[in-house]
Amino acid sequence: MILEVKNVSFDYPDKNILKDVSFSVEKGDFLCILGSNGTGKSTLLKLILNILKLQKGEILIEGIPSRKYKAKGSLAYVSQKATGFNRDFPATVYEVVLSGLYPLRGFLSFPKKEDKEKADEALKQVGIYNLKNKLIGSLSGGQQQRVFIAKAIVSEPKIIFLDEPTVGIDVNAVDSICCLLGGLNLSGYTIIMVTHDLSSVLHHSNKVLLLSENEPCRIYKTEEFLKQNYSEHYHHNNHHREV
Amino acid sequence: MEIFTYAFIRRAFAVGLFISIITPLIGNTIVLKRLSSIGDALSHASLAGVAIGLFASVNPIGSAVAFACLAALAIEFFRRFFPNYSEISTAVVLSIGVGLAAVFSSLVKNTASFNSFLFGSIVAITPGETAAVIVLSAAVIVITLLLYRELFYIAFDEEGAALSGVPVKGINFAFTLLTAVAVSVSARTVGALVISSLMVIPVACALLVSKSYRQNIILSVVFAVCFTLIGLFISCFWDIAPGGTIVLCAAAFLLVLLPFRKK
Repeated sequence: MILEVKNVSFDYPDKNILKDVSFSVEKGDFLCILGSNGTGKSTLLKLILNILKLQKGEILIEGIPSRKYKAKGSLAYVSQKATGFNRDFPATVYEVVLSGLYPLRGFLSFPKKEDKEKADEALKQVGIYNLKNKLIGSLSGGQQQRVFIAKAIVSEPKIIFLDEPTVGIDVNAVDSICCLLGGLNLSGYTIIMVTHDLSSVLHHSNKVLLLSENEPCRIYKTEEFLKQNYSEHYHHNNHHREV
Repeated sequence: MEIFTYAFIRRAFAVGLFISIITPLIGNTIVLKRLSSIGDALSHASLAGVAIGLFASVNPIGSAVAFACLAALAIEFFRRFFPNYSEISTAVVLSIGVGLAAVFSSLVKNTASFNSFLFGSIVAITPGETAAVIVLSAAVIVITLLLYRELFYIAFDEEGAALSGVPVKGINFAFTLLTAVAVSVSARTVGALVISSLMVIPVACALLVSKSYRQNIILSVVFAVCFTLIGLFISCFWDIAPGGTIVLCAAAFLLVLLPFRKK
C-alpha cells in the first residue's frame, strides 16, 4: 500500500470540509478524486502533502506517517495554480523543468551533468522536447500544463498529485493531457488527481474517490462507479477501451 | 583616459563597477517578485541611517547599512500584520525612513556631506569606503550566485518552492537583508534617491529582449555596467551628479529598446 488515509476529518474555521475520510491507494493506481465544489478535494491533497496540518485521523505514505515522510522527490504536485504564473516571467521550459529536481539536489546545490539528461528525458516523455528553449509564457495552456507535468516527473516520484490539471485548457488539449497521464500511469507512476473532468479521465483511471457534502466518502473501482452512476457512459467507456 | 590619473576617479569607477553588478543581481528577484517598491523603502531607510550617522559622527555608510538592515526587519515585522497587503509594510518603512532622514538631516551641520548621499558624489568616496563597498559587494555577488536556484524557484512559484523544500522564509529574509546592504553601499556613489531605479531599469531592459532567466540576469548586469560607466564618464566631464546621470542614461536606453520588445 503506497498511501493510506484513515478517518481523516478537517474543519476550516467556518466550515466542516472533510468528515471521516478513509481510502487506500496501491502502487500503480490511477485515482480520480471527484466531488462538487466545497467537498474538500483540494484540501485532501493538501493534507496528504502536508501543506495543511492534519487535524484528525492518520495519513500513511509507504507505511510512514505523512508528517515524517521525508523521501526526497518521492511526491510530486501539480497545483491548481500551476498555470496561473506570471506569463512575462523570463523562464524557459528547460529552466522550469530543472527546478523540479530541487527536492533531490537540495539547498545550495548546483546543477549536475545528469540533471540535463533527466530534464531532457522528462520533456521527451511529455512530448515537448522541441519546446525546451521556448519561454514558458509563450506556450499554450495545454503545453504549459505539459511543462508542469514534466517538472513533476523529472525527479521520478513515487506518486504524482494533480489538482484540476485540465481547468482552463481547450477541449483537445484536455484529451491529450488525459492520455499523457494515462500513459505515465501505464509506465509505472501512481497518480492521484482531483478533477471535474469526468468523461476524459475515467478512460484512464482505475479508482474513483467520491466526496460529497452530506454523505460519507466512497471509493469505487472506475468501472463499478460508471456502472452505478453513468450507465450510458459506462457502455461508451467499454467501447472506447475495446477500440 | 587622462581622468584615470586621479585616484578619486579610479575609486569612483571601481565602486561604480561593483555597484552596477550587485544592483541588477538583486533587482532581478525584486522585479520578478513584483516588489520593486522595497528598494525605495530601503534606500530611504539607509538615508535615515546616513543622517543619523552624520549627526552622531560615526561612519555614515556603516550606519546606513545598520539602519537599512533594521528597516528590512521592520518590513518583515509589519508584513505579518498585513499578510495580503505586502505594499503596506514597505510604505510604512519608507515613511519612517523619510521622516527620520528629514529630522536628522536638519540637525546635521555639514549638509554638503548629507546631500552627496542623496544623488551620489564621485569626489566624496574615501579609500576606506571603496574597500568596504568592494568587500560587501563581493559578498552580495557570492551569496546571490549561491542562491541562484532558490531565488529562481521562489520568484517563479513560491508555493511550489516551499513544497520542494526550499527554505522560503529564511531566503526571503536573507534576501531582504542583502538588498539592504546593496542599497546602503551604493548610496554614496549613485545616491540613495536613485539607487532603486538602478535596480529596476536594467532588469526592465533585459526583460524586453531576454529569452531565459539566466540570460535576463546576464543582460541586466551588462546593461547596468554600461549605464554606470557611461554615466560616470559624463558626470566626470560635465561635473554633474553621477546618480542622476546614470539613471537618465538607463531610462533613455529603455525608451530606445521599447520598440524591440520580443514578441
